[in-house]
Amino acid sequence: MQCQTAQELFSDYIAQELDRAMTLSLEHHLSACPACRDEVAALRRTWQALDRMPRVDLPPYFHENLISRIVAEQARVEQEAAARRAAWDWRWLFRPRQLAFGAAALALVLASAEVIQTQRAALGPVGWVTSLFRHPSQQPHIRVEWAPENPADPARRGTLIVRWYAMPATPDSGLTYSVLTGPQDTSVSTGVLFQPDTDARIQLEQRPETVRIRVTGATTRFRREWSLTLPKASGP
Amino acid sequence: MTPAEEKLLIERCKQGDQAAFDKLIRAYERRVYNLAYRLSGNYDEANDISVDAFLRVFQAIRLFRGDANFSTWLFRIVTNVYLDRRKRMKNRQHLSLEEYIELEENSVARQVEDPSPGPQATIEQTERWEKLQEAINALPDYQRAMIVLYHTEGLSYEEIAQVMSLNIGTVKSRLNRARLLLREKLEPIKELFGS
Ligand SMILES: [Zn+2]
Repeated sequence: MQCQTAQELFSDYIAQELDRAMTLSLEHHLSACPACRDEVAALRRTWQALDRMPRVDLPPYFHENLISRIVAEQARVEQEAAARRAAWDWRWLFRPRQLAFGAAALALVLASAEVIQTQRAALGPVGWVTSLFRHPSQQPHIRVEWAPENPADPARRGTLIVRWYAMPATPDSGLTYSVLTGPQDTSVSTGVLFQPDTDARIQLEQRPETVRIRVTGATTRFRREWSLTLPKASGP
Repeated sequence: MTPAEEKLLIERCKQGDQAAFDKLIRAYERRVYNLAYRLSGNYDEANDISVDAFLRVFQAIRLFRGDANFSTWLFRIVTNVYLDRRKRMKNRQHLSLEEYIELEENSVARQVEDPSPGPQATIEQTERWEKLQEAINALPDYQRAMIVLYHTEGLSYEEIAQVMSLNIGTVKSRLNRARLLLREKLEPIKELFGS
């Protein structure tokens, strides 16, 4: 048996799904080939590690936020249906939910006093994540993206996209946001969270250097504020 | 929930019963979120994928005929949402979040302090899972999906074949290749995975 043929059988061998003749023939190869033997042992360890991957918790308010999105979606679907007097339009299923951006949209993830989870930061030198189950995405946080209209000129016209996570944005909490930019904290957008989207898309004439985002609950005492300084654009 | 109860629940969902849909979501949201997290390797993306997937389920539940398991159908939607997003991101050559975070790392790190560092063992364990997830993230999209469906969601080859519209032979051989590739990616840090 060649090493390559042997390799193709490794998974079935570890899962004990090979018939007896194949098992014997593979084991014959393994007894003579240390490289394949090591490979099988390492593969077995990988397999075991994969099977033991821990489960992660749902972010707070996941269920409530999802339901409020679905309620909004249902209202939208019913409206559309009424407008077109069509009972069902299958194309609806495949309509992309996201805005399609031009090439090379700049994306950035920023945080201020609030904690933000990032894969890379989690591996950073500070070692601030000690448990998968206490991931900081359990805290209310935001993600901010800047999508320039013309990627070659990222400081000009574009869309500031703010996404909310782990916010108690049930319909009755009445969370509203306001986005302020520039040294004078000029208000550029206000709105209600989760009605019906999880993000705010704000068209701006030029990329702001600073952004302040406030979220306030009408009926709850929830209040958060993030101040961001956008890194200098280095072009696409 | 027994299969019969689930079937009844799905029938009620098809008739637009919101309480039934709420119950169906509760039954599956954890698995969906975990699947989305292992696929994307990112908590916030997992959130977005899960929400999109459940919205699609809500829109398409009337088309669910029941010849496959509901969970298989659901996982197919989650996997497709994930794969669609990946395609879209590639098409728009999005500067990836991670790259940007690296530039921002100092400011993030400065602001973030762990109030109570756990014992060394916990850090090592966490590192181990993070590294494994990183290696999964480095796999090609389809291989990644297969690995996650098989190993963390416990789907059979047959179910994965249904979820990904492939035949079982293809699933088996590609999964074998994916595991070998993963093994290779873990080689430099194999001491973390010593038995
Ligand atoms: Zn060999």
